[in-house]
Amino acid sequence: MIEIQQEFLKCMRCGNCQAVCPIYKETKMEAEVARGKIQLIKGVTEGVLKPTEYLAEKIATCLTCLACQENCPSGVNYEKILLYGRDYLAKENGLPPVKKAIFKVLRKPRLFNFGLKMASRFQGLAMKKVKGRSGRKLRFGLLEDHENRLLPEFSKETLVEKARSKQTSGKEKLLYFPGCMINNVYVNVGEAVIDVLKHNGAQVVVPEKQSCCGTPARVHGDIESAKSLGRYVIDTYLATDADYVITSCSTCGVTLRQGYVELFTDEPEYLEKAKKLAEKTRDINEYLVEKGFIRPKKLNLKVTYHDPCHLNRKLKVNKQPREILKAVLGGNFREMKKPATCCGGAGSFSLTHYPLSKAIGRKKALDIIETGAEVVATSCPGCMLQLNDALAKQGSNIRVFHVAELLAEGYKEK
Amino acid sequence: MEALAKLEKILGSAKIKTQTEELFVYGYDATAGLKNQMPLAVVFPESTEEVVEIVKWANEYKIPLYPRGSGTNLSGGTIPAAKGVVVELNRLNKILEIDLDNLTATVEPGVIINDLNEAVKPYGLIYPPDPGTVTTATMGGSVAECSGGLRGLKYGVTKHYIMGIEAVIGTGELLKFGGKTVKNVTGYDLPALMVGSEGTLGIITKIIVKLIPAPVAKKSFLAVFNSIDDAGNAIAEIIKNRVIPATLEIMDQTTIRTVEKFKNIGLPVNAQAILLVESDGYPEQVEMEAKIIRQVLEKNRGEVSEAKNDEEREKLWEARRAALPALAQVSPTTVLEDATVPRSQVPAMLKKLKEISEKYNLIIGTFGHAGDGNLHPTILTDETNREEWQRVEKAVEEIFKAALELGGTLSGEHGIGMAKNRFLLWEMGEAGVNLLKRLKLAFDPNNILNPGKMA
Repeated sequence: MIEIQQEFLKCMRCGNCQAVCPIYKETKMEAEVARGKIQLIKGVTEGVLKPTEYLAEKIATCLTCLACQENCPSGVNYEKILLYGRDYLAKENGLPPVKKAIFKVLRKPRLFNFGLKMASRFQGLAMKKVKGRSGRKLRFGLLEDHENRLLPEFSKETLVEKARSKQTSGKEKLLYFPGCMINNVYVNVGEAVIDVLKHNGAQVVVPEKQSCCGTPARVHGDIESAKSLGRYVIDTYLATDADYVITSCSTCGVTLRQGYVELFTDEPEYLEKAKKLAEKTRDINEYLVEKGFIRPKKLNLKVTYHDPCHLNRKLKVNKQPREILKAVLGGNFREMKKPATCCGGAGSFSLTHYPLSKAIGRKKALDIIETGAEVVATSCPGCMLQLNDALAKQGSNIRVFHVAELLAEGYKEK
Repeated sequence: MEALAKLEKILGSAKIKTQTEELFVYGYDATAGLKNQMPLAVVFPESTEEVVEIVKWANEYKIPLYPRGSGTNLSGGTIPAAKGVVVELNRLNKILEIDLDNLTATVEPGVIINDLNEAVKPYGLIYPPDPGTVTTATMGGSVAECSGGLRGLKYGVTKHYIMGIEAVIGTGELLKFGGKTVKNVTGYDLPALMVGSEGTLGIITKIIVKLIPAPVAKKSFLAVFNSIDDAGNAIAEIIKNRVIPATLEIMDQTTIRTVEKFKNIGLPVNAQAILLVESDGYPEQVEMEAKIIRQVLEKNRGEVSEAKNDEEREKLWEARRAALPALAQVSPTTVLEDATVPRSQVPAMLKKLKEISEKYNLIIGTFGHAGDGNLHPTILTDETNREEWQRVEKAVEEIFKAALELGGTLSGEHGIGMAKNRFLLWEMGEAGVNLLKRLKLAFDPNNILNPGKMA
């Protein structure tokens, strides 16, 4: 509590966060920019404000892109305050029933995986394929704007299933943590990651015991679910003698590298393990550049890069993907005006705040289109989903790929 | 409340907020140490006509209005002092015209200053006023507070760039002051009166500003001094030599040490002061000025380094830009003042600040626009420490007394707002303050607009 009070006091209320907040740019509401949220959280924890649903909704209206934190002259740890606030409100108000139910399922990895498997079987009933794009559209109105909205297509076979037949050998032993999205939706990204690592002489294993990394629960204030998932992941991934754990999702990467250490500060046993896992974890871009990856053949493709917020701001991985892309594309790589601005996806934010998410995504899509690129690369399946939807809405043919997919393509070129 | 229901009817429910959670965050601005004050409602007008309606409504019910932009001011200018309605103008944010023949731009009050600069950049033009909050602050707020900034010495401040203003005065009448002509002596200089009026005379709905050609060349110097007097003499002598740099900034030892601690950029922690000087304009002129600047700095025992390219210039400026952020990180509360003296008195003021810091046992880092005498003594404190806060208030009082004694002013660029009300008499005298009050009543007979500020 004292620690968080110190953090509150650090905020000078200068308002510099307004200049970089994608949400504030859309709504221009003081309660929806970091300065306002910090005051609201301070107010509710000091008892000046009541923990109303309305307040919780205000605190929920955040992409956690952390642009404000990066731009803060006083060095306020906004993320810490925000998560504290969400945790506080979840305890005071309880979570909304839908979220509670979702996290309950998330907490049981086997049940969750079974559910996703079923989703892949039955998605055709609710969703139709979209020609020429990856993703599906809803046949009927479960979600807002369903006729126009591009949703993920669940793969028939998960990455874990596919990887079974892809056993590899090599000098360095790598464990791959694909995360929910890549294991179930963007399976081709996962395969590309494995191909790329194999090509660079590593042995890659995808453990059968997969689960969500826990971040969705954590950012919504369900710390217990997040911890339960954290323990599961830590135990699974420390159970072997792998040299590194590889991630290819921005958010999962941050969770394994930093999130668990923050989460388990009061559980010494798991804190130690979390630190060990953190040391071993590398984002795929980071690993390849650190080890010196084999140069690919050049692709004749104009490509731009979108920085996933967490990868860029939390892990500071932004030069590496560009180095890889330049190796694959040479002079065909082109920067967009503001590559580090949030795409508006932000995980479940795009589900719960669709109109806002769509407006932010639109700006991103226009930036991408302006570069004249044929492909936008990124390093996060969550961003891929949002970019696909945002570009489709602009009627653009620009395709969205993970950096690893383009590198894998470069290795295939003769 | 009947009045609010009527206001909602006028504006429509999307443009008015009355939930406690929404109101709470309009109870403050960037000023440290003032009490939060929640308004009754916040309204978001989207047209001039709506602003007129709001002011008429306020007159009918005698409810005060508090115009607001981004809330970045440092004088409590936008805090709703008595129960009233905040008029948030950030949705009136269109750049209406860039007139290349007359070199003017016409904007709505909610336009962010930096956005205007980005918009005129392709034409080789700039809008020079550049307060520290240039990426956040709105044009309307900047005009109402008459913001200054780093380029004040050569280019002047907001008041030198405002040619015309459209505003709704306190009666609800929509008026136009000035226009696009360079020369205009019709009646009193009303645009000038509106600039720096802190929202007490009218709600600004349109602004015509002057644009100027962007300088094509720049040269920047950093000079390290072991005595404050040497630094002060150098400032005065540069100008005596008929050179007006674009910027002439100072950082004192406390600031240097704090910046170095947080940024590790290799600043000399034993130096008494650092000066940053930048000349801009046409290459030949810059070349000539740079020569004189270097000579003066060296003559006054300054250790000079010059930026050879943009990258090195960026490095020099990094120290200055880091000043406030670094100071802000030392303690929970940062009281940033803007005591201003004639530039010849900068060394005397710096000495006085040192005495005050020792007398009240407070850390005061001073940096600022030495070239125009606008200093930012910044007190590092913790507002929850009551005993210390009392010392801070006394020190602040003494800082302003000192500035006035040296022929200076209470505020160079932050304004009076609520924060400096209590000192107003010192500078203006009773007759002066009374005249302000009568002027206010001429514009706003029912005292609807931003009451409790500058009074």
